[in-house]
Amino acid sequence: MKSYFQINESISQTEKIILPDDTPMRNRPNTITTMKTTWLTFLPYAFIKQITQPANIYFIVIGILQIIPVTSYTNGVPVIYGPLSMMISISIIKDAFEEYSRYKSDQEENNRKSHKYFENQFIQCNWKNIYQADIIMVMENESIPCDILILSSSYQGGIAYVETKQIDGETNLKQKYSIYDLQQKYHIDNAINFKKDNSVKFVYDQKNPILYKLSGTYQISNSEVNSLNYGNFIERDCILKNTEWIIGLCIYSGMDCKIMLNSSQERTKRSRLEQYMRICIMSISISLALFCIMASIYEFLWTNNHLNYSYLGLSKDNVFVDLGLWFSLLSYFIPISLVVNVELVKFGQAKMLESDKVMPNSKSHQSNLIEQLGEINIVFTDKTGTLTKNSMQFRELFAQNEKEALLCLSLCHSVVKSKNKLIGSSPDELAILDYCEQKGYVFQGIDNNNNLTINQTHFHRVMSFDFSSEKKRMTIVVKTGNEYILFCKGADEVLLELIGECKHQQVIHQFAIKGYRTLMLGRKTFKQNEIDFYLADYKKAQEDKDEEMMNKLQKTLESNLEFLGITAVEDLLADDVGQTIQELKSAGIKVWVLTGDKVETAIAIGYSCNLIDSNDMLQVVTETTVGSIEEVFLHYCNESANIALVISGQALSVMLDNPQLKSMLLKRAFYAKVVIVARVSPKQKQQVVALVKEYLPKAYTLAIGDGANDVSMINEAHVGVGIQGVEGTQAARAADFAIQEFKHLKRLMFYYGVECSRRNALTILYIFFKNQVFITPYFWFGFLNGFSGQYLYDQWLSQLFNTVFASLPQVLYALFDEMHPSSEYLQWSKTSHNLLEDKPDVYVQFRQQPIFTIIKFWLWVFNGMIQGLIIFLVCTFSTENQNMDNGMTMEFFEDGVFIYGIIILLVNLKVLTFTYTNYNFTIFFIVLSILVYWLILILVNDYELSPSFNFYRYLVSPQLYLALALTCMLFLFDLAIERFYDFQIYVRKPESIELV
Amino acid sequence: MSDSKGFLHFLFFKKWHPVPSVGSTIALFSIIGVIFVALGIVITVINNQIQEVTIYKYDQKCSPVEYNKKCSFTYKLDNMKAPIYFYYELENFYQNHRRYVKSKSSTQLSGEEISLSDAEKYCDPITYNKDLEEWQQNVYVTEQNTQVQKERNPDDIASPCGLVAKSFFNDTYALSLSGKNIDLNQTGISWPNDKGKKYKRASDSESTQWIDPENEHFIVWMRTAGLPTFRKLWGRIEQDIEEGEYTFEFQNNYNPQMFAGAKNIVLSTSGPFGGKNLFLSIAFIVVGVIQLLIALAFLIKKIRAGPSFGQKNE
Repeated sequence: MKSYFQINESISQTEKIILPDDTPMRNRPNTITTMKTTWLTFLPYAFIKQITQPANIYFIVIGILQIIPVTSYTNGVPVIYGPLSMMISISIIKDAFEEYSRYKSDQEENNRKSHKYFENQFIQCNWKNIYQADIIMVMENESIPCDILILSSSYQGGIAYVETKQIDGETNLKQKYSIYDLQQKYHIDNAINFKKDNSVKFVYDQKNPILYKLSGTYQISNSEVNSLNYGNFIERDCILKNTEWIIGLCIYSGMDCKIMLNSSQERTKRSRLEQYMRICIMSISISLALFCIMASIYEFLWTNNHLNYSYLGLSKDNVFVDLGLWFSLLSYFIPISLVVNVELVKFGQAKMLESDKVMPNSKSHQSNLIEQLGEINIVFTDKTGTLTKNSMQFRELFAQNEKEALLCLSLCHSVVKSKNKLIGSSPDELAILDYCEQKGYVFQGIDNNNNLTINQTHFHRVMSFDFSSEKKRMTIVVKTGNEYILFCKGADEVLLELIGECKHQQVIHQFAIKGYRTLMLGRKTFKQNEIDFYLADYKKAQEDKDEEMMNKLQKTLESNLEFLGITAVEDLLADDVGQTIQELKSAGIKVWVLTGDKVETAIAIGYSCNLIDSNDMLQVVTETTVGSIEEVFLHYCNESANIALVISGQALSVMLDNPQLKSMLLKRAFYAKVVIVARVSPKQKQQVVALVKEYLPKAYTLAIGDGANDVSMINEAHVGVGIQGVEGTQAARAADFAIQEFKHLKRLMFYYGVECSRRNALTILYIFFKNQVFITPYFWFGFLNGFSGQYLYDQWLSQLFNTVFASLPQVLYALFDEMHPSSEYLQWSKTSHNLLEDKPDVYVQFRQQPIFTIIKFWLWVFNGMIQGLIIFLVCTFSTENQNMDNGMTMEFFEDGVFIYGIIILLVNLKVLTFTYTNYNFTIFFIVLSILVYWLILILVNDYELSPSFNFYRYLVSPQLYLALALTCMLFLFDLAIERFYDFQIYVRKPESIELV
Repeated sequence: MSDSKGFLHFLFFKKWHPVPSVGSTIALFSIIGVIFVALGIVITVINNQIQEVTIYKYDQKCSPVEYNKKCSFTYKLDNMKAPIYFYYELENFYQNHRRYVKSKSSTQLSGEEISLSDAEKYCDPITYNKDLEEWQQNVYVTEQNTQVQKERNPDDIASPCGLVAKSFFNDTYALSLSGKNIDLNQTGISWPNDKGKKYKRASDSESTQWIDPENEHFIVWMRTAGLPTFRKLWGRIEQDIEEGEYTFEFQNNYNPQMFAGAKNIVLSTSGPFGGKNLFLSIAFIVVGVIQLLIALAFLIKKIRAGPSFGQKNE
C-alpha cells in the first residue's frame, strides 16, 4: 500500500455538515467499488480494452490486409479474425472472472454490518447503506465503516482506542478522543434527543488522500468556532479496541475515504521471463519486417524482369502492396496465441499451487510471477513472525529493584483489560504482563479517568507517550500519592543513551546471545512543582497535536533516567527454519535478515537458525558517523573470508545518505555470506531492497514477511511472499504469494519456482518455434515462385494450427510435467514431498543457466526456420516433379497439405523432447492432435475448400511415407541435442558474481 | 498398478517417466541409423531398376522450328517394361506463381455457371472469350482432345476462364517404331475423383465452353505444379518396348519462348516407390549416417567424459 500525495486545489475547498440534519448527503453512499466497470458497460469496455492492446492491433491490421483485395491472399476473407476472436474471448472471460471476484469482494465489504442512527435509534445496517453525514455507532472489536469524527465514546472522558494496523501496520493501540463539547450531547443514553438540539456545524477539508491529517472546525448553534483535529478522526478500517462503543459522524464515505484514496496504486511486477518475452517479441517483429522487406523487394524485381511472361498476367506492381501481402502472410512470426496461452497456463499453475496439500492455505495473487520464484538469488526476510513464531515467552528479569521493575512493567504498556481479559497487540507486552501477574502484580485495567489499577492500588496516568517505531520506547508519568513517577520501557540502545552510564551491558549481551528480545526499563521521580511546569506544555501539545513538541517534551522529561532493569522474552523459532535457511544457502541464495529487533537479538537468531556459522567472521557496524563507519569498513578488508555483516538501522541510514559509504556497503554486502540489518523501520526495509535492485542488476529479490511493516518491502522486491501469521494478514494480502510457514518457502522456490520457470520458459520458446516451423515454408517457397506470396496450406485449416492442431500438448506439458514426479499417477493437487525440494543444486543450475535467454530464444527461432526449410525441401523434392507408382504427379497444394501435416506431426512430437513426465492422457492428446488434422481432411475431402483436396492420394503415394520418415529425423536430431545437453552436469559452485 | 486406483484412472493418468540413459540413446540412434541406411540402399537399388529417358527440347529437333505444325524426329530407346509413362516436362514455367494459381474458378470448373463478378474476382485477368489465346476463341476441344470449330461471342465469360486454363498445354504426341504405331493410352491419366466431380462439363458444354473440362489433359494441366520445372503425365504405353529407333511425331503448338524455357519429353517406368528418385535415396543414406554419427558421438563422449556423462539422469 503505497501512499502518494496529491495536493491539488480541491483540498482548500471545504465540505459542510450541519447536524441534526434530516436529509444527510444522500449522494455519497459508503459503497466501495473496485470493479472497473458496471455489468452493463463491462462488455464494451473489455472489448475496447482488448482491441487496443498492441498485439491485438497488430492482428487486426493483418486482418485488414487480408480484406484489401490487392494484399489479400485469402480472397478478401479476414481468416485471422477466427483465432483472434477466440483469443480475445478468452481474455474477456478472464477479465470477467477477475471483475466478478472484485465484485464479490466489494459486496462482502459493502455488506459488512454496522449501526446507524435512524428515527431516533441505532439500527443495524450494511456498510453500503451508510451515507455521508450519517451518525453511526461502532462497537468494540468492530471495524470503522467510513472515515468518522468521534462524537462520543463509552469512556467518560471521551477516549477511544483503535488499532490502525490496516493503515500503517503498527500494532499498538492508538488513543483517540471525542469532540469535547459533544461527548454529552451525543452520548448513547441521549440518543432519542439527537435531533432535538440546536444545530452543530462542521466544516472540514474536501476529500484528500493525505493520511494523518485533518483540519476543520465545528460550531454549536451560534457559539464560538472550535477547531477539529486529527485526534477526533478515525480512518475507515481501523478497529475499535477496548472501548465499548463510540458514536461517530461519517465525514468521508466510500471511495472518498482516505484509505481508499490511498489504495489505488497497484504496482505491476513482471518476471524476468516476461520482460525477456517482450524484448523477444520486439526483436522478432524487426526480423519479420526484414523478411517482408526482402521478400517484397525480391518480388518487385522478379515481376519487373518477368513482365514478358504473358501467361502470368503480370502488371507493374506497387512494392508497398507486396509488403502488405507479405506481412499478412508471415504474420505468424508473432504467435497469436502466445500471451493468452502463457497467461492461462500460469493461471492453472497458480491454482495447482493453491490446492497443494503439502503447503496448505497457500495463495497466489500474482500468478504471472510464478516462474520468478525459480530464479531468486537474494532473499530478504523479516525475523519476527517469519523466522520466529511470534509467540513470546517471558524468560528473565534482571533488576536491582525487582518491585519497582515489576511496577514499571505492569504500568508502562498499551495493553488494556476488558472483561477480565488482557487485550493488546504486542505479544511481548502480553507475555510480560503474564509474568507480572504470576509475580503478584495484577493489572486491573484502566478506567475512564486515566486511572490504572494494580492490585487495587490506583495510579493516575498524567502523561503518556506511546510507542512508535521511530522512538522505540514508551514513556508514562503516573501519580501515586503525591509522588510523580516516570516509567520508561524500550529498546536498550535508546535507553542506554538516556540513562547514560550503565554497568549492565553484559547482561543485555548475554540475553541477546540466547536469542532473547530484550527491553530496558528506566525510572525517574518528579516533585509536584517540577511536573506542573511540564503538564501545561503537555496539555498544549496534546491539544494541538504537535508531535514535535511532544517529542521534545518527552526527551526533556527522560533526561537522567535511572536504570531499573532488563527483561528477556524469547521468540520461539518457527518450524524447520534452520534447515530451510541452510538449503537456501546451499542453493547460492543470499539471505538478508531485515528486522526491527536489536542487533544482538538478530545475531543470536542468526546463529540459531543457521544463518551464521561458528567460523564466520562477524562484522558489526553500529557506528553512527560517517568517519567511524568508514573506519570499520577499512578495518575489515579481507573480502575472501566468510563474513557475516551486521548493520544497525542507524548506521544504515547514515550509509544510505552517503554515496561513498553506500558503494562500500554494497561491495561489502556483495561478498558477505549473510547480511543482517537490525533495528530497521519499514521504510528502511524497502530502501534496502530498492538499493539492491538498483545496484545489482542481476539480483532477483524475494522478500518474505508477515507483518504490515513488511508490506513496503514485499511490494518492492521482485517477488513478495507473505506469511499468514499472528501479526494479521496484511502482508499476506499485499504479497504476490502467501504461504503459511517459512519452511514452505523451500517448496515454493525449489519445486514450484524451478518447475514453473522451466515449463513456462519452454512453453514460450516452443510457441515461437512451432510458429516458425509453420510459417517459414511460405518464405522458402518464395524462392521457387519469385516471392509472389503464394501460400501453401489451406487458409481455413491453417487458422486451426495454434488453436487445435498444436496447442493442447503444450498446455498439458506446462501444467503437468514434472522433473521428479511425486506419484505413479497424475495428482491434481499435490500430496507429497517432491524430490526437487532436496536439490538446491538443481536450483543453482536453472538460475545459472536459465532456459530462456535471448540467445536461446534465437536458437529456437532459428531451429524453427531450419526445420521449416528442411521439411519444405524434403517434401518438395521427394514428391514434386516425381511420378508416383501409378505414374501421376502431385499438385503443389497437395504438397502443402502434406507439409502442413508433417509440421503438425513434428511440432507435436517436439513436446516429447523436453517433457520429463508423460501421462497416458498427455500422450493421447499428442496423438489426437496429430490425427485430428487427417481426420478433418477426410471429412472435407469431398468439399473443395480453398484449393483442392484429395486425401486418398496421400494414402497411395509411397514417396509421402518416405518423406514422412525422413522428416521425423528432425525430431530425432532435437532429441539428440536435448539429451546431449542433459547428460552433461553443468552445475558450477554458486558465486556472488552472478548478481552483477 | 495401484489397487486403490480404478482402471480408468490407470488408463488416463498413469505416468511415463522415461529416464534416458547414454546406453539407450546410443542404441536408439544406431538402430534407426542402420534402418535408414538400409532403406537408402533399397531405394537406390530400386531406383537403378527404373528406366527413365528424357528427350530435351524436343521441339528443337525439327528444323526449321515452326509452331502449329506437325513434326517428327527419331530417338533411340532401350528395352523398357510396361507400363511406361509418357510425360511432357516444362522448364522455367511458374505454375506456382500466386497470380497464376489463383486465376481460376473452381465453381465454373465443376460445371456450374458463374456470375460476371465472380468471374472477374476469381479469373482476373482472363475473364472474357476475347482475353483467351487466339486459337481458343472459336473452338471446342472435346474430351478426346480433338478440336471442333465453334463461333463464340468475344464478350461472353470465358469458360473455363483464368490464366491457368488459358495457358493449357496443347502439344499432342504419337509414337511409332518402323511405321508401326505404339499405342499411347491417354485415359486414366487424371485422379479418379477429379474427372466428373471437380472437373465436370457444363450442361451446354459445347456451346458455352471452349474446352470440355473432363478432358483429362486439361485436368492434369489444371493441377498446378509446385516447382518451376515440372512434368505432367500425357499417356501410358501399356506394352513392353524393345530397343530401336523410335519416331516421335508431335503437333508443335506450345511455344516455349513465351516462358523463356524448354519443353521435354520424359519416358519412365515405375517401381514400388514411384519413379526414379535420387533425392530420396541420397537423403536416406545421409540421414542414416548422421544418426550413426550421433550414436558414435555419444559413445566417444561417454568414454572420454567417463561416468559423469549422463549420471544426472541415471
